[in-house]
Amino acid sequence: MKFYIFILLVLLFSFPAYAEDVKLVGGGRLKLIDISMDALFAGGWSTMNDNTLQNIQGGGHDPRKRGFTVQNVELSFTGAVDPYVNGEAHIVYFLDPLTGETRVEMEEAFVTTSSLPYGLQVEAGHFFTEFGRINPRHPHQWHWQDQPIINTRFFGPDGMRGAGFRLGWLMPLPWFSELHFGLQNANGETMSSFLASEEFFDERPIGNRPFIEQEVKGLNDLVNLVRIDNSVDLSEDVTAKIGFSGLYGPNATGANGETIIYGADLVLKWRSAEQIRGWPFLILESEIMKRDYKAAAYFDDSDPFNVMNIQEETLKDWGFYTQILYGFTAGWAAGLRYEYATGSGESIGGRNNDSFRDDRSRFSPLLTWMPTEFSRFRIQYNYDRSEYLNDKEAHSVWLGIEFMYGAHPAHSF
Amino acid sequence: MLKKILFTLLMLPMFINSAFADVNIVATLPWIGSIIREIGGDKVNITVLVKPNQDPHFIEAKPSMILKASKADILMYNGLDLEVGYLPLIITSSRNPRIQTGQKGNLDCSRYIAPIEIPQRDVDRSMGDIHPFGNPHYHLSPKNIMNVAEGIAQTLSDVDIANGKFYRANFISFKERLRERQKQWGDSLRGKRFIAFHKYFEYTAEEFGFQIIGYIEPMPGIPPSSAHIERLIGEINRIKPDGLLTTAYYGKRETEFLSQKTGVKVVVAPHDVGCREDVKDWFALMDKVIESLK
Repeated sequence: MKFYIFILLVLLFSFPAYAEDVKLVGGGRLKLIDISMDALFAGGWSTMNDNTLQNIQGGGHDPRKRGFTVQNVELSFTGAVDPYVNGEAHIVYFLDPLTGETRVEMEEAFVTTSSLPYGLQVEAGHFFTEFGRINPRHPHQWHWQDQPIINTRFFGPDGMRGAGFRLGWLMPLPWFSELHFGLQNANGETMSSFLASEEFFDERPIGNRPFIEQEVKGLNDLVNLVRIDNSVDLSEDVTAKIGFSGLYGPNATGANGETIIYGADLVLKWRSAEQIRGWPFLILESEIMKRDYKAAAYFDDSDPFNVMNIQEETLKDWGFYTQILYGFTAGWAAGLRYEYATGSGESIGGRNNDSFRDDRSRFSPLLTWMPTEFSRFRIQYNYDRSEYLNDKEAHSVWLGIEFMYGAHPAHSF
Repeated sequence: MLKKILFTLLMLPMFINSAFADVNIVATLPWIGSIIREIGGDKVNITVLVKPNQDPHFIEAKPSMILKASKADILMYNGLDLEVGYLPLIITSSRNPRIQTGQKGNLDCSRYIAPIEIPQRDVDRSMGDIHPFGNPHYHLSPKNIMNVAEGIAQTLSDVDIANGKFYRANFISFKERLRERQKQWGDSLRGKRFIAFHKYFEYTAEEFGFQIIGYIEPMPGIPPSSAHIERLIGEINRIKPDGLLTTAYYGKRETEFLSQKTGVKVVVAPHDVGCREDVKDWFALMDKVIESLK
């Protein structure tokens, strides 16, 4: 027995080998909430009038008015809630471009777990749907001043976001690979391709179909998301990221209406290993997506002089954008974006008369200057070709100013 | 039988610890990796996130960095807000409970030094890229590195208890070598006067007795305008410093231009381990810094 006591003593004394503690010199601080503010303003001109601009610059935070647009003034709040979750909220303020009315949106408010086992992470609250590259990011994180056409068509003016939860799993693989499953409410004006809202359909009815109010009865009435995100470093200077996303849920055309959206996105980034302030760099970014919108049949004979009998039809739309941005010298970058969107299946009144489903392409050169990390000036020209426009084309020039202050912004990939 | 069970139970911690033999450490900067190697020897795997010639203020949180952090037992970083642009994002996205703030696998190396240049009045960004907790470039100072190395040894012993003695012994050997080298580095820089591009060598100046009497950047992190450069030409001609001090990634063009105009030599000091082929570890880094300043 003595032998074991001896071993026990040896083990006990061989563990913490420190006789004295190292002296900590630096102090700590109480971090409760990080606040930051980012403001995007634009000034510019277009060959189209303000009413048409609401359709061709269809993003809620796009420059979309002759003269000046208050695009997006965003207040962000982040902080640790407790040892298990971090909180985040983003409140956006902007002016309605037509009426000048003040609008306030709760863009996002959610918590994220920080230390679940097995590489799992849960996000819960009200947040952007993790579909593709542009949708989950805030307007000030985009390189161009407006959102891609295809995003406007599928996800509406403010991007797809809603209340729900998402589970992310960083898979135990040799490269970065994350799988997401999400469940969000299908109704509300930010769920445009799904149950949407009457207000949204008043402005932008999909396929010009009537809006049918629907109740949430079970899990089938929510929107489901699956996404896989992969990334590899091709060299010290080049990183690639490729993702595939899919969404499934009910839509606003009736009990039999359902929507599937799927897409792929690619980012290739070169940043010199000997960079100064992050320059030079080259970023190639592309996204392609398709929507199958199964619109339910509709019959209404309440007005005998105007009996509505609309057949069931699947409206198929797809489109892509591809953009390249070259940071050629410290503070400066030049880029080019090309977009295309089209579809099949008729809108009521004809697809090419529907400003959110017609054949359309857009070509947008961009020049950016960032005097510091906290401010940005951009000039962008948009050349639009759209079947819906009387002249079939439009020209717009937008000059944008951005500034941010408060907590340091995150340099996300 | 009882003896066997008791013996197995007693030996169990040893097996658990030996299964834990290699501690995975993610370090942000190359010099931190170099000190970890001195203390951790072959008991640790080290991954360094930032490349030697990258500007450490402007790093993007690449997915590969998040993946590395997700597998780390310990994350060791510079602190004093130097990594504020990317490290918080990496820590959160890694969803690794071991390296979250406040855990023993989260080592802010600056906690072991006494920061200098802590602003004594209110500061905001109109003063440039101000670090409110003090100057974050503290690694070109033997005094600081001695403290940081001890902090690293302590953290390694806390996480990998079985090898505590090994880390302690390595620290003692490191301390002795460092004391020896300090004698060699001596006092040859005392009294020298430099104009520096960025606030990068303040700790070194304090320890080795030289002076930095002006800066080419008008404010930390703000590139000089041509008017500011013009003013500097007059000032440099008047005070004739011993050199215009810069690093490989900062302000080479501006410094060379000023040198041409004033005849004062440019001193490009290595700033981190691995930034040149002959700077293989932290000792070599200090050797070359002192050599270039002479």
